[in-house]
Amino acid sequence: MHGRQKKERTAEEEVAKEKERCKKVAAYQYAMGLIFSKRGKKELDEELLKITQQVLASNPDISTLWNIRKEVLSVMKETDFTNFLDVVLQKELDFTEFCLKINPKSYGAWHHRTWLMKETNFSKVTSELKLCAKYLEYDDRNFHCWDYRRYLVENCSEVTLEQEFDFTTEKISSNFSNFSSWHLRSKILPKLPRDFLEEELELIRNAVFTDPKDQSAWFYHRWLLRSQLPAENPYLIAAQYSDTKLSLIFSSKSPIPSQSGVKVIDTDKIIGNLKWTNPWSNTCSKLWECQLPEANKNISIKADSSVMRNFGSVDLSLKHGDLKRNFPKYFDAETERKNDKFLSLLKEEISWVQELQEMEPDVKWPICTLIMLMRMVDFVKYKENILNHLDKLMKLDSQRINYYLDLRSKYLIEWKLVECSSLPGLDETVLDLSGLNLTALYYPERMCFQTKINLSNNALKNCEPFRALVNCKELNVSGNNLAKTKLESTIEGLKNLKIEL
Amino acid sequence: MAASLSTDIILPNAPPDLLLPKHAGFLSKYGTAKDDYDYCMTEFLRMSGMYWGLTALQLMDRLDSVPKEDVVAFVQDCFHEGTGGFSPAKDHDPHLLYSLSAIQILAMYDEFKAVDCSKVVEFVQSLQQPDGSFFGDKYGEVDIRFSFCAVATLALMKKLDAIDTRKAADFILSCQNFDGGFGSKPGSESHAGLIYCAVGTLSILKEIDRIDGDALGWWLCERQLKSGGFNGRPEKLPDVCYSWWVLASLTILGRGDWIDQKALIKFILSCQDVSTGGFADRPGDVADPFHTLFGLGALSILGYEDETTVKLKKINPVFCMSQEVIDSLGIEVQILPGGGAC
Ligand SMILES: [Zn+2]
Repeated sequence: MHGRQKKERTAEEEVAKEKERCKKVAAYQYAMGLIFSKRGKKELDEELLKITQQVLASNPDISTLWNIRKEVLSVMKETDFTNFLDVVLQKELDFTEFCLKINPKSYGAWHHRTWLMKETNFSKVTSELKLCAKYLEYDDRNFHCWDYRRYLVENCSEVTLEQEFDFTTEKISSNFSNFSSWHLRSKILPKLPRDFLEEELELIRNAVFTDPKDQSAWFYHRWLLRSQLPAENPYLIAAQYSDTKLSLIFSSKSPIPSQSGVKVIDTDKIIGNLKWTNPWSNTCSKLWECQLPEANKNISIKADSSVMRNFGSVDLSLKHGDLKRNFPKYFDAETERKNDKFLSLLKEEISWVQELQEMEPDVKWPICTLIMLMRMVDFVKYKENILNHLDKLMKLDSQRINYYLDLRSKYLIEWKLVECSSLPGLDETVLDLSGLNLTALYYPERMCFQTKINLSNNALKNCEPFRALVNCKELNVSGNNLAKTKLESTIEGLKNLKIEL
Repeated sequence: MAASLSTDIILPNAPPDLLLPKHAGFLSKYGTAKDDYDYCMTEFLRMSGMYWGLTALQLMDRLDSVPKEDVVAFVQDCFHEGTGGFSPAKDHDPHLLYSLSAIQILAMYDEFKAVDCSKVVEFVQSLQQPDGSFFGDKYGEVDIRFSFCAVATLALMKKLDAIDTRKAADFILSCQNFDGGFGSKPGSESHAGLIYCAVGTLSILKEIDRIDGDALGWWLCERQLKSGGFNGRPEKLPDVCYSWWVLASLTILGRGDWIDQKALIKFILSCQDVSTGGFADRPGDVADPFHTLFGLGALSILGYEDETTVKLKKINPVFCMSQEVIDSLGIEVQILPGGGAC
C-alpha cells in the first residue's frame, strides 16, 4: 500500500467505518462468487461485464477480472464486429478511464487499453494519444502512461519522430525536472537525421541554470556528451606466454576470446578447444587466461584488425617466455584523445559549468560535471583540479563518501599508471601506490606485469582485485583493512608471492 | 507525523528500536480475520502476500507461528493443473508473479513435492517469447518483472535449462537506458524496482558482469535522499520498499557501501508502526506485509543489530529469501567482486 496515511478515528467513527467495511466485504464476496460461478458455466455475457465492472470500479487491480472481461469481449467481437468497434469499444475505453481516475497506476487498466488497441487494430489511436497527453498533464512522471503512449506511437503512423521530439521539448520546457521526458529524448535523439548537439546543450543550460539542484538534466548532459564518444570495443593491449599459460589483456571488458574471434595458432594450425578462464569466473573480463596443450615453441595470436589495432598487425607472434604489451595512454573512451572540434566544445562546457559552480558553490552537480568534462579534455593536465573537486564533493555530499573515495582511487591509479613504462618484458621496478588513501584497486589487470607492488598504507578492504596480479613476486599491503586469511585464500593461486601484511 | 517536502520528507526525531516481536505479531495475525476489509481487497495478490509475510517471519526466526500444513494446502489449492501456473488465490487466474511466490513458499518449507513441478517448468517455458522476454500470462503483457519471476522460479527448481537463458539475458540488456538503469521493457524509463529485477535476473544467469557496475551503482546511490531513505527514480519521494530494491541491487553489484548505511537504518526504523507493528512506506502511513518484508530485508543486508533484539537472519539479495534456504538448495548467485575488480 502506498501513500495511505494512518487516520486517527474516534470510537464512534471507527464503528461507522467498520460497518461500512463489512458491507463492502459482503458485496465483494457476493459479486466474486457470482462472477466465478458464471465463468464456470461459460456464461460469457453482458451481465458478466456488468458485475466485473462493479468490482473493478472500486478495485481496478484485480487482474483476473480484466481477463474475464477480455474473454467476454472476445466473444462479442466474434459475434458482431461492427457493433464491437462502434459501441462496445468506446464503452470499454470509458470504463478503463474511470478506473484510471481511481488509480492512474493500475497495471490492469493500462494493459486492458493496450489489449483493446491491438484487438481493434489501433482504430482509436488519435483520441488515445489525447488521453495520454491529458494524463501526463496530471502527472508527467506516470510511467504507465508514458509506456502506453510509446506503444501507440510505435504502432501507428500518426506521430512522426520530429513530432515526438517536439512533444518532449514541450514537456521539458513546462517542467525541467521531468526526468521521464529527458529519458524519452535520449531514445529519440540517436534516430534524428540531423545535428542536434548544440541545441541540446542549450536546452540543458536553460534547465540547470533554472534549478541546478535537479539531477534530471545533469544525467542527460552526462549521457549526451558521452554518447559522442566512440564505442568502447575491447582490443588486445598485452599478451604473455609463459610455461604453458597464455594470458591476454584487453582494453575493456571482453567476452571469452574464442567468442570474439581470437585464434591461437601453432605453426599454421589453430589450437582448438582452449579453455579460457578469468580470475573472477566472469562472462566478460579484461584478463583472460588459458593453458596451452603443450609448451609450444612459437605461437601466434590472430584476430581481426579492430581487436589487434594496438599491435599494427592482425597477427602477434609470441615465443615461449615472451611478454608483449602496448598499453594506451588512456583508460576508456572518456580519457581517449578527441578531435579538435569536440575538444573546443568541451572547453566551452567547462567554462559555463564553472560559472554556474561559482554562483552555486554548495550544489554538487556542477562539480560532478566538471570532473567528467576535465577528464574528457585532458585527464592528466587537470589532475589537481579533479582532486580538489573530489574533496569538495566529499564534504558537500558525505552520504556518498565511499563512492567518491572509490572514484578518487580509480583516478589516482590512472595517473600513476600513465607514468609506467610500456616496454616489453616484466616490469621489475616497484610500482609505488603507497600512502594514497586508496579504497579500491582499479585496473589490476594493467598491473599484472609488475613484479613488485607497494600498496602499503592505504584503505584497501576488498581482496578480489589481487587475483589479477599474476606476475607479482613482492606485494606490500601492510597498513590496509584487508583480512589476512581472506587475502591469502583469495590469492592462493599466485605462486612465489611474498606478502607483507 | 512526517512533514512533506516536494521530494523528500523530514523524519520524526528519534526512531524507535527495531520492534521484532510486534512485527511478528502483526504478520502472524495477518489473515486470521478472513472477512477483514483490507484482507479481502488484497485477495488478488494473496500468494505474494503470503510470501512477503512468511519470509519476514522466517528472517525473525518465527516461521513456526503459522501452521505449515495450511500454507502448503493453500499453495496446492492455487495450483492450476491445466497450465502449470499458480494463481494468487483460488479461482483467480495463474500468472508468473504468483508462480514465483508459490515456488518461493514451497522452497522455504522444502515442499516442492506438494505439486507437479514439471508442469510449473512447462508453464514458465511456454511464456518465453522469441526476443527472450516473458509474458506474465497468456494475455501477453511483457515486463522485465516477469523475466525475473520466470528465471528465479526455474532457478529455485534447478530447471534453468528449460528456457533460452542467453536470450533472456539479452532481453534484459535491451531494457537498459541512457542513465545505466533499466525500465520495464525496451524504451521504458529507469526505475529502481525494475533495476532490481534486471540485476537479479542477470545475477541468477551469471551474466551480471555484462553491465557497468560503476555507472549503475552511481545512479542507484543517488537514490538516497537527505532523510536517509531511497526513492525509485530521480526527484521522487522516499519509500521503504526502495530500501530493498536499491540496496539489494547495490549489493549484487558489489557496491553496497556506496550509501550512508546509518542514515538508511534510521529511515527504515522510522517507518515502523509502533502500535500495530509492521512497516509502512513512509512514517505515519498504514503498515502492510509488503513494506514489512522489504524493511526487514534491507536491515538484514545491513547486518542491523541492537542490544534489545535478536539478530535478523541473513537474507539473499537476489531471491529475497533467507540465505539458509538458498544454501540448502545449493544455489549460487553471481555477485560482482567490486573494489575495483569491476
Ligand atoms: Zn513502497
